[in-house]
Amino acid sequence: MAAAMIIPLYATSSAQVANLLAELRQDGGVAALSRVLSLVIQCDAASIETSIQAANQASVEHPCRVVVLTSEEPAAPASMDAQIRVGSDAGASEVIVLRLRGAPGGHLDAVVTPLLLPDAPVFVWWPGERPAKPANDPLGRLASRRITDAAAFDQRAAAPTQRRAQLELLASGYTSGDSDLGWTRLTPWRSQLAAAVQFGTPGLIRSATVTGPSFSGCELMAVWLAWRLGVPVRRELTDGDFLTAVEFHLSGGRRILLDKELDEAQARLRLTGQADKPVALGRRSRAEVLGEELRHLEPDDFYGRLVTEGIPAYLACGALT
Amino acid sequence: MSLNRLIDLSDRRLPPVPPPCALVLFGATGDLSRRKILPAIYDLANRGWLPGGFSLTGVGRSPWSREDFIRQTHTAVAAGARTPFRQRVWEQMAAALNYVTGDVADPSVYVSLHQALTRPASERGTAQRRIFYLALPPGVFATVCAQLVASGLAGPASLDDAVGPVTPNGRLRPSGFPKPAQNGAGVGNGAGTAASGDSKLVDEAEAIYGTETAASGDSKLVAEKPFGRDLTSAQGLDQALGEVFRPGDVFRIDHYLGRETVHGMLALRFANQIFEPLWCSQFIDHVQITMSEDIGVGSRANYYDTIGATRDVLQNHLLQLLAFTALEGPGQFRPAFLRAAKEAVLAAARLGGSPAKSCARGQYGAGWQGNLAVRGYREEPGVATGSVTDTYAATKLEVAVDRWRGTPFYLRTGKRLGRRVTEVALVFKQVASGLRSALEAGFEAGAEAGAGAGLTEPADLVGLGAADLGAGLDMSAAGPNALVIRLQPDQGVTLRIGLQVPQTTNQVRPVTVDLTYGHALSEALPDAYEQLLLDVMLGADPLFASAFEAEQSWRLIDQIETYWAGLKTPPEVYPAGTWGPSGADQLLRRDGREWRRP
Repeated sequence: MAAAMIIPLYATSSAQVANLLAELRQDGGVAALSRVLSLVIQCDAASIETSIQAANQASVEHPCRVVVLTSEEPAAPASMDAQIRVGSDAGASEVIVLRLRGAPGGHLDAVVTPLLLPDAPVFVWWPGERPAKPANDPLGRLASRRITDAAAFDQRAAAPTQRRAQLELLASGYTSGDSDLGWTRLTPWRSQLAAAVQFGTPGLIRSATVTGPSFSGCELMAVWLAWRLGVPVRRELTDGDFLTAVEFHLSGGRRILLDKELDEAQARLRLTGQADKPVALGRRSRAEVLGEELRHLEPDDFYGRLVTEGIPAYLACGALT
Repeated sequence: MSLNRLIDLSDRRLPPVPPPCALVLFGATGDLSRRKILPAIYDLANRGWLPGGFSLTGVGRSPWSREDFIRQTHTAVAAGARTPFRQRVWEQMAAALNYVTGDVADPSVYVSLHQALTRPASERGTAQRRIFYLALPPGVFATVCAQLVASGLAGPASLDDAVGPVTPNGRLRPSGFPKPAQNGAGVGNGAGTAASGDSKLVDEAEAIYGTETAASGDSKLVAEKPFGRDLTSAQGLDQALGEVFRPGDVFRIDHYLGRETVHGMLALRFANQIFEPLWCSQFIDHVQITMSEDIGVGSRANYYDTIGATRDVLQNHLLQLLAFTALEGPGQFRPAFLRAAKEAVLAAARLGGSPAKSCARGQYGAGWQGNLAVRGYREEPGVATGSVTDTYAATKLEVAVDRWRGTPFYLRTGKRLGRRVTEVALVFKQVASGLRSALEAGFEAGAEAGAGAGLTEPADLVGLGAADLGAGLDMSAAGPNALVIRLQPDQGVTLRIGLQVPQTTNQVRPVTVDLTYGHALSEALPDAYEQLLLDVMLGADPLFASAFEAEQSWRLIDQIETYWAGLKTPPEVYPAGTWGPSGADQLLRRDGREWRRP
């Protein structure tokens, strides 16, 4: 598949799309398709292109078939337009875009079924609004892994009760196989913090402070620390769009501080009694966090425990009241 | 494992970040450092995989200042890094660089090195955790070790330094984060103790977070292949290193054989029910292991001319690939188990006949590399006049275990060959199937009668009509199945299977099915050098050759080299851009086989 190609299909059907895919493969003379998974994306029309872009970049690491579904005007007459994208436009994947109107929008599982790769695991990603309980969603039921994004929660919700409700939804909506990109974004931070505690400076951690905006994604950092360390975690709310610092207060007045005062790509690790150390800690693109999700076919049980044990414990300690 | 509560074995997302360490790069001005090591270090920094307290001290013969070294490193990084160049990351890396000029045999170099290391130790919290990377010819390894001890920079190793369960081949370590080293390991490391004041506090912290503190010491040695030039020198080298470093702290690296590659090979075989049962001499006719380079000797001529292809690649890389291909299921996917399995293979390996019948060598002459005219080996600058160094080597080996009885392994490597590829090809036996056309099978059975081929008896031909003769499948063009594990340049698997040609009634043809997983060249994945540097810093148990494996490999190679050294004739010349000397083709033709064209 050399040349990039976008093939539009109007007023089409799932079966026609599937047939055309098979024909394209025949004509292209591709003997084997090494696809490791099907990635189904449900989003609104406005975010189709950005979602495809992220999926294409992630597909370089995980060759997959991408099916993007968007449904509008549930009361309109039933119709479906489609696009098939292959070649360099589609990374290491083939992309199928389905735009539905009317009643079929209520049966996305049926719409997508003929287009899933045989046997291969199915991932569903909701880049925007998420179902309250992803595993009960029709698409979610087809999938072994369901990816939501806490960044899609109302980010202006500054009131503690609203943020509390968002965390409670993460906990109550959880089923094994779910994960959330809000948690994925924290991985580099968590890695540096774990290393700083492992190798940094001796002392008992007495408490911690998490500085950043009030978003649920950042709140998960506080949840993680409170849950794992069993110490009080204070939130320091700032503007901006991501974490800016995490600090451990240790016995004997020592401290470990990881803060983003340097620049976009780096943070500074400050340990009592040692010179500051720069560490690479950039913002991760959506493609990067999606790529991390696609790496794990099996449920992330640790995330499951974080939301089902960690969140209730965090809230019970009086956070977000 | 860990008492650090932020680390949990079920938390698979956390990539391990290595502890602060000071890397000392001997041969910092050399080709390998410039092309591979320095760019890989930048990439690690860029990915956030370098520890906060990291320093790199280059040691080289070029009379450079620190600024010169930083400038040269910048050039190397700009040319060789796989991740995008970020000025701030580079500036931080540059701040961690240091340079010491001098010859590695000169004791004053180690005095300067000591001074250079003291600064990072106190300022950057690298403590005594030192990694000595010998990007040098093996001839000077022993000298460097002796000087490291004499100057107090490392060792000597003592038995009570051992950490964790010890196996004869080095110690076992858990995966992921390294087991914390004991305080005071690496006795005699001299200066620089950080963060030790409040001992009660330290004890308390250790009880909770493990014993890893900024004060603990731990020295490692990384040695590039080839390790020695024959069995005797390898054993001498082992002894010299063993006096300074614990066995598990010596990394004999083969940068062609990264963790990724090894895991890929093992996964294909052991994660698939369909392959492992076929992995034996009952089904596999022979195995071909190839590492071909399209480049010539380049700037390494001075060094290469004393080594040759057999010692440079066959002794280590190809024999390691043989070991990974032929090993018995290791039971557990752990380094110590894998190593034991590899050792068993190499101990059972022997030449497939007398040296004259089981090996071939060659030297490239002038020719065409693609569309470029290239000169011959003897015309390369730095190569001795009339050099008899081999730039191509091939050998036939047998592995004397039940699994492989009767299945030869053919290994070949060379420079200036048709194209760059590293692959392991398992060539299956021809099918003896009832679906072959009656005529074909009948004739074959007749021809092979008495050879015990077990095909249809000639008597079956009796009573066959014209219709029967046209029936069955024509497999004359099908060829044997082959499973090719491609390691370079793009990792993947090729499977050759016979399929019926559409629109014909009975023609079977081989179809090559090529399977790749993602784009191996993408920046998203760390390359072999990054991975191995990370492994060394983490103290992950090396998958690389143990001293025993190296010795077993030399045992084989010494037989070949001794035979060649006694020959009056120089290596056969092959034109650049071809697939090697005719002697190598003869090696297989004697057995009725052909090399694959990779």
